[in-house]
Amino acid sequence: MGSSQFTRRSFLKGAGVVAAVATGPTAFVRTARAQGKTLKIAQWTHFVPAFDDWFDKKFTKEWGEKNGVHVTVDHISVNDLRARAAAEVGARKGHDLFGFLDPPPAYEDQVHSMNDVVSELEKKFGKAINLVQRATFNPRTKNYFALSDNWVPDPLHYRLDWWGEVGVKPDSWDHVREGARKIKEKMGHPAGFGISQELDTNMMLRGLLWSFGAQEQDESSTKVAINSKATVEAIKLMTAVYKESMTNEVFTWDPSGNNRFFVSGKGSIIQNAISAIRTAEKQNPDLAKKMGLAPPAAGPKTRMGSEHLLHCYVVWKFAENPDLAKKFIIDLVASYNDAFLASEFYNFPSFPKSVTDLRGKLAADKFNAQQYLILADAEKWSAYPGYPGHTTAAIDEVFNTFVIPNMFARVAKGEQSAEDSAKQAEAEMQRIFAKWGK
Amino acid sequence: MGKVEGKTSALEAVPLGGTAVRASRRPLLDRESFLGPIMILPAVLYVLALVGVPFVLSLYLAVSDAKIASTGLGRFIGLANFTSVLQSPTFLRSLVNTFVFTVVSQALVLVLAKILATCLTKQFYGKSIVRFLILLPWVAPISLGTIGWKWMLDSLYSPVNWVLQALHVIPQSSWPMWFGVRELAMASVIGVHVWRLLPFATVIILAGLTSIPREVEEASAVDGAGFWSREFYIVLPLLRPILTVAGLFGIIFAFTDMTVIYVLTRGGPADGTQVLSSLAFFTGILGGDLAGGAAISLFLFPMLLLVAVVMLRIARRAEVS
Amino acid sequence: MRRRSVRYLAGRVGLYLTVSAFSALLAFPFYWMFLATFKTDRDLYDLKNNPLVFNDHLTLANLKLLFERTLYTTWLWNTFVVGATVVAITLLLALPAGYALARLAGRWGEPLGIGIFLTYLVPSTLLFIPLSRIVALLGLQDSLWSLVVVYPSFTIPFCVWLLMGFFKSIPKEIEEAAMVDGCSRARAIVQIIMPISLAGILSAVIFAFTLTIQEFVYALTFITSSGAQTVSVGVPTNLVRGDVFFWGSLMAGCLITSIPVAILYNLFLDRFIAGFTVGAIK
Repeated sequence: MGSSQFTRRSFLKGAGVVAAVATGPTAFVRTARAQGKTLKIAQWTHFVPAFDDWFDKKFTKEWGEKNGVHVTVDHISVNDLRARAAAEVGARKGHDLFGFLDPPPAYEDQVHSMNDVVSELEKKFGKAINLVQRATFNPRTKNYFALSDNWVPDPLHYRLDWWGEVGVKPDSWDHVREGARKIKEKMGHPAGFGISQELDTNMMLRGLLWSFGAQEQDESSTKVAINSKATVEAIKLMTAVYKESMTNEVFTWDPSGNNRFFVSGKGSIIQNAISAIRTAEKQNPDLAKKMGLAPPAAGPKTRMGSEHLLHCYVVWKFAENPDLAKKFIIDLVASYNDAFLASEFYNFPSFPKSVTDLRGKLAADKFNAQQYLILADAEKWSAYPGYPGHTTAAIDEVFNTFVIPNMFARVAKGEQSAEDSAKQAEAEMQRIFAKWGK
Repeated sequence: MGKVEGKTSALEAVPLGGTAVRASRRPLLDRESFLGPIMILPAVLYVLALVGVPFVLSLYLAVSDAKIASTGLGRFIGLANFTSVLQSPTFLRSLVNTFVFTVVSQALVLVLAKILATCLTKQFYGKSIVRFLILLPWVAPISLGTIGWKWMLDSLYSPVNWVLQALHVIPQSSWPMWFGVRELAMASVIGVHVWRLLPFATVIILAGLTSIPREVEEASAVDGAGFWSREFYIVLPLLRPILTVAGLFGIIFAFTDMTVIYVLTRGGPADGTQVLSSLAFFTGILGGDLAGGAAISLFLFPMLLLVAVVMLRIARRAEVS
Repeated sequence: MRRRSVRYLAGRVGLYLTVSAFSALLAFPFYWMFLATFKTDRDLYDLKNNPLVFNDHLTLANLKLLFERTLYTTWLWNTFVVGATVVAITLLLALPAGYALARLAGRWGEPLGIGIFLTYLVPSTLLFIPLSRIVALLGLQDSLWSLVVVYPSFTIPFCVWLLMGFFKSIPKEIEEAAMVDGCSRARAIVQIIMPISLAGILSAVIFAFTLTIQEFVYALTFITSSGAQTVSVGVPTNLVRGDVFFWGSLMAGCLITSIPVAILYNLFLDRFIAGFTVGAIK
């Protein structure tokens, strides 16, 4: 974010309506760029300001110089990404590259296929990790609609001191339940698994469901499979955890809620991306030393969490420079060593070989190397919304209308039994699936 | 109000608020049949182009199967979107919430604004500071003001809870979770919405109050009317047009604006504060089902239309007298 | 006599109490915003601290972040320019329309008046997608001109209604008298009616300006370059990063935008009210 904005200009077409182009403020005046190509990128404001500095001021600048292209990067707040994408599609005009934080299957008809980019990258770095493949690929059209450069793991964050005191490790969900309860009884500190209509809840609860063997849909992505015994078991477990060790503030959260909860020193355990512990390191370093990371808790069937975020780029069909855009992505993935470090480990590489010696880098962290090493195997315990099928447009709508969080909330609040709630969720999902023709 | 008091003989001959210029050669700009439309047309055309056209588009969307990335407008599917939406308990919940949210917040706004405006017609020390303070919620950018309220009612850090605890109104151990319990969440969003609209409504009603001719108030005081009977029999009826317009504007605004809910609760907990406008946004924009979102948005349109027409008729007829 | 003065005293006390209560409730969040602007992170996030006072030293770090790391001053300027331009366009179109509806409309005045108002029934969250198409067709994508063109669509209807009400309250006799003296209606409007309705015009200015600086959805969807954003979009976009909020700077951004505007309005409010009580309208 700097003076580059003031020198950016572009041609104003159809000047009939706004003919009087005066020497007004820069934002009003747009004139032709005499020569040279442009690449316009839109993506979120990274929670690590240093990453945006690296991306905007270093990487894209150098890439631009090397390729004779003028690159502009516009940042959008996480919450507003989808709205902006909708507007660009509605206007059929916007950026060349648009970075979503969760796969956008609904936009498949409006984007170029990424199959060529994927095969190019596979040649250099091998295949992308499984969850990325399943989440950005449409098996019916055999088409990659988005290219993911990074994803974000969703580990448990817990207080080493308190869990140590009660002698429990948050290994399985039963352990989590027991430990959280003991800590609440003995010391009064509650646990923090959000049950609100927001992103963190969506991800955490999906992990819980999978670890019990429950799932939203079947592998073919056509049948709703949410109403099962496993689902009911999972709901009952979370309800028990709520009753025994949480307060009703878990219904009030947005994505920043559990961060504040944990970093303030009140909570004993949350599940979140590492933004929480990184914030603690900056805000309250002494407390940060008492924080630990762990893989998602294991259920009776498996240990599985969801990706917290899956950053993927699409190239709009109406992009002005699609080939440049694709080249950019390829070069970005090739520079992922720098990206990984600049993001303070937030951006895990979708093509694992694009970051050399990941484990070594994690181990070299200045703050909490021992904890970050937990993430070395993150791929093994991470899936994506729609698992074991694909992330389809229907699953996307299920996600964005918070069907799963509400399924759990109704039971935790005592408004419905677990069985009835699962039935209601099933009916809602079927209604949505029917809309998308699946 | 068409009668004209005769000022000169020339006027008497002209029935409809005419001018004193001889009727034979009136300059173009003075002909009302020309002047009227010319003056109104630009505004009408402008609004028609920027609101009317997209609106018709949205109407069509609601009866199509368009999704967010559809090229073109999708296929016509009749009322299928509406029937689909009616099956969802979330939708029914949102419908109820919308009514509760709108009616309660508008009632509060009107009553509180009337009280505050009445106070502002009186003289007292510090009036100028008070006026500055009460204007603040209205001029703060909505997105930022609502983010501020997020903290004010936060589950951990809420200064509101802190004050209530310090005053021993609530115990330390159980702070009210403003966004976590259905009733409290609804109260919170209503409260913030009222907070933000109160200055606006107050200013409008103040304008109405100051336009009541002094003679009317003085005459009634002379007649021995007490404060309350003056209020109910004189002031409120005179304010009717203003109150109706302010109320209507407020109702429409509450029906269509979702910023407060979107920022504070995202419709939660468990759809406890989900209203039609927020549900439409989640379904249409975030969920990708554009036509479904349009259908939800427009669901109450016929009813709102009726309410608006009725209220505007009342306002205009009241103004005439 | 004594009974009267007791009632009078009770009335005064009631008045002061009521006014104080309203002021406190409406302005309380801004007091907190002021504190948050200057509080250190340590102070703000400590659960044990009294949130209503400073528990640590004051800091300018939040303000520094706002002014140096973001384009806040640019956004303020953009917002102000857009606001002023939109107000100008609104007045240009709404003044004649309001006058016409008040004086010249006759039969079709009422339906038209109602019709113009009904445009508010359609929410901007529904309109912004087709509108972004129109904006793109006009080539105004990512330019502040897009806002200047689109905003009057929602400021005009209400201002038309507002001005119509004001013009109606001015007796017809005034223009009549002027036209008897040989003036054309157009001149009568400009030279006589306008000065009298200054209060009404000012209130239309206030409403239009406020609606403009408040607006979020269109500003978000039509503009992405940081340099061209308005305050209501630029500040949350850059200071709400994922799940991390930069509270101090966010609140500073809110305060610095609100306070000058509130002071300005307060001054106008005087004129506004004075305009009514001045005898000209009797």
